[in-house]
Amino acid sequence: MAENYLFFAENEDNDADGDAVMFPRSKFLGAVSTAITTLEFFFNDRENAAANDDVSCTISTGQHLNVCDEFASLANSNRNNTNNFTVIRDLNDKLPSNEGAISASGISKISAIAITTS
Amino acid sequence: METYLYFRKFRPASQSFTISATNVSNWANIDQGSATSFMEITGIGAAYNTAGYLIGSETEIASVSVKAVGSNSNVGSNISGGAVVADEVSSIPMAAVDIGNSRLRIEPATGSGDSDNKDTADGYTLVAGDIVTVNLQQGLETSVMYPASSLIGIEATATGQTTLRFKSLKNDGSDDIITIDHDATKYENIVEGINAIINGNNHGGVVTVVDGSGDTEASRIPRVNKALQGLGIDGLGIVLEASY
Repeated sequence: MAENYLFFAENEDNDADGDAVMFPRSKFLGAVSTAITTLEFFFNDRENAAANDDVSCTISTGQHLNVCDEFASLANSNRNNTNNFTVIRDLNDKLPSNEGAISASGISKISAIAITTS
Repeated sequence: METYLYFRKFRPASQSFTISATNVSNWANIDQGSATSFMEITGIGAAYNTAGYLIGSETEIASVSVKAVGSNSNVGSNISGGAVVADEVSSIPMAAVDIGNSRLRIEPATGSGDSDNKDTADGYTLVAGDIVTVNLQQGLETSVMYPASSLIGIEATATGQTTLRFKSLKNDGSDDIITIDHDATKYENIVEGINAIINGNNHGGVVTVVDGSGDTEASRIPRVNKALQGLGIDGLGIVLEASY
């Protein structure tokens, strides 16, 4: 089965380090609550450094399980005859062209994103 | 298609404490809730100070309120202008609330204590008969989700306790650990249940393994997955890496 690729973008212009990132689904390690409105997703580090990469998301109050549920559905949403580019949340609202977006807006319960990569 | 496993610690939705005269005596000049008597939040599935189970972060506190037994002018200036009347319910600002090892503390507004344990603006000097209520919420490391492919192994670590090890989220060289407390001699049943969850729920979403929260939507979320029911599960610990 084709790999699914998960895209996150902060509310920036996608032109600086940490503005946006994409991970293969197979590199997803898990997610943990860190506060009532924050949920942090972890992925294997892209540069194979010591610390893994993470995407900390500001979410609707107490919606951790529901966001996890939507994330899992998107992450598993492989489809034939597509490139499996999956927008988890694009706050820049500038989707790559010609991608046949699987989700135009991603998970609406995510209102802010902070991307930390090594 | 990957199966995702969701775990949430055991937490009551709320808990109330009626302050006794002994409490007040023991708390003279120190934080209310400390020393020889304290407001201990129970129902966490383990002893108050057990790592992985305890409440140690203020992020878990949604609100704290006090219902006054009578008139009290020994409250902070930010609380009803510095005086409350009988049956008045006051919300305590988080600046005057501390939590550590599942023990709730409210800084008094008055007394001879130093500034570290007295808050003349947001504090509240409790008297016998006052009722303190704490409401809990999702907070630091109260819930976690892993893809099933991150599961490394399952071991029996004590009588009535099984430990699941997952690939570390942060990659510091140690595994992430989920402990499930259950009836004695049920290790094999736990393993069989986890296997059934991973291999039998390939629906493309999250599978709740154990959700110990007091505010579970019973109609939607099983507190304990049906594959693990009847095993006496009454506690869940999550030990991740530091520095989140």
